[in-house]
Amino acid sequence: MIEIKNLTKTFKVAEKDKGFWGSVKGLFKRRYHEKRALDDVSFSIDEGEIVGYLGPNGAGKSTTIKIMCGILTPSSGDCKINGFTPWKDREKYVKDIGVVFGQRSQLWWDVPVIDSFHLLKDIYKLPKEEFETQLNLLVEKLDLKPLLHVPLRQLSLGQKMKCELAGSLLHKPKILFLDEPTIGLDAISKLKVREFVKTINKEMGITVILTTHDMNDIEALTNRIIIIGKGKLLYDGSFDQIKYKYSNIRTIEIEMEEDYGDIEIEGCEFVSKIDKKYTFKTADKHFKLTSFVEKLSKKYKMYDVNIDPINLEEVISKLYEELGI
Amino acid sequence: MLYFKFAKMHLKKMTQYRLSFFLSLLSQAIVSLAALASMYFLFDRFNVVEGWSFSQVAVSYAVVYFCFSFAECFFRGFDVFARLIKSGGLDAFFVRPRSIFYQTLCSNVEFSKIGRLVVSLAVLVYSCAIQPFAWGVDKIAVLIGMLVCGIVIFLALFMLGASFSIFTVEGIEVVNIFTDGGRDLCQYPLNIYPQALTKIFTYIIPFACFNYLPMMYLFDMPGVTIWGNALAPLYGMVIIIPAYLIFKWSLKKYNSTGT
Repeated sequence: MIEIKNLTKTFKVAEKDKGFWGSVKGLFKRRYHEKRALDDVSFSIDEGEIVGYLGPNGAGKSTTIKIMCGILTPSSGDCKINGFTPWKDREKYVKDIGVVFGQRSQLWWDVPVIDSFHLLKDIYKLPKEEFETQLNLLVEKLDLKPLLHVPLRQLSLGQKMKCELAGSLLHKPKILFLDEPTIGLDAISKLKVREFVKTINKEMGITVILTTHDMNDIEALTNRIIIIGKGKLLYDGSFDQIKYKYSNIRTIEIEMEEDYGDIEIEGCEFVSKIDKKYTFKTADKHFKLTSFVEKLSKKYKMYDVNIDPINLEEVISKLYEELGI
Repeated sequence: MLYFKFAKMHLKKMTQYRLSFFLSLLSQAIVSLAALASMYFLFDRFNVVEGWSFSQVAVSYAVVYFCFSFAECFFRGFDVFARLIKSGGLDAFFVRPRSIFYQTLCSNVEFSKIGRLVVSLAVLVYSCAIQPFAWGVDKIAVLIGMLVCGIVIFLALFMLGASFSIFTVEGIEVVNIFTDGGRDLCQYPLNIYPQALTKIFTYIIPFACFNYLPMMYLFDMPGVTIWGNALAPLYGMVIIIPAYLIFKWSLKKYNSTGT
């Protein structure tokens, strides 16, 4: 359904000289250098998939999404989605996609949400009945009824996101692009957004591509992730595999009876100490907590022991570190 | 039509801030009346400027102001295109199945400029009525041609400005030299200005095509021809073609902003 081959996008970035005279000079003569936002990226996505598109800030996530949505024209490479090349057949192509940018609204700020929806109906030339059925469905699923007659600007971030999601699905797209849909949302709203995305994927068969920095989004929604860094594709595969790879990293917290200074001990790395609370870390697959505690208890007196598996945020930052981005 | 639905929305939006809407309506009207008044006092002193009487110049003023305010009111989206780029609103246009041109057109209707539009229309009707000659079908047709041509030219200039801002992101004042500057300049018939200026505003930016040239036909000035004067508005409208092409071309070069 989505076929991306050797996508490359370079931007010309103007170099600025420092100081007042530098900027005056910049008015007349500008030097440019090329910045590669995307470098030879290829991947494909099948119908009905949910794919997490990950990478640190400035990795090229948004650039990819923007190319896939027809906003940007790539410098080279090919992108076929639903049989269309987004930037060439834009008007025909975008009928089948929905796009939500978490950072900015696509609905109209000053008017009630329902008015925005009606404008979208006219923009997409939707038949009245089809529109009404889809609207009712979305209103029910997202619990939008109390929000419809409120101007968008008066809604909370979470409420706004629900309206954005509905707005992007009125025309029954086959593919939904979500660019950081949970950014800035509270825990409950995040859960709701995830649940909704899961539902539409299952019930309507919509293919979803989402970018996010919240690994819990990925954990809840999909197993397939694509990681990009410095414009290059670095990983395309299962999230579980990556979690498994780092699952042996554990943190051990021990509260001692006294302050013993720094403690060096075999098989476990001493990380930090706050007052009498010690933190150790291990990446050893065969690490056994009991023997470690036994070893420690011979020398020190302990109050409490606590062991934590690595959390998702750490997994991804570990991975980024390893990938050199 | 989609444009009218958007217009309705913009009107609804403005009525939410009623006081601000009425005040800007009023101030727009006063500003344009002040321009007219300064013109009147000028003629009060000198009676005739370079062969043009006050009532004739009033027609010129009214035509230019009408066209400018019309374009500013209904094609405002192009005028404030830079804002659209900065806010990221333009990105949303790309993901919808309508042309960027049409969506830009719909994106902004500035009803507060109607104050100016109404004043200039009133001045136009009045100044046409006090002309000493009879308005035949030909002259009415030329006058309508002038108005249409003027509106088209201002739209073209807004579009060129919009195209520039795709590259600069910031809106640039250079364009205002031609829109606002051209508007103020062309309130007076172009022959009162130095040759070079007249040439620029005839051949490069064809302001002369919708006021100076056809107006000479309206007022039966010596040496006018059908081809050179009465039909001038038709030539002027051609500017929309390169403007549209440049606009489309620059959209291909659009590089979006931020995340």
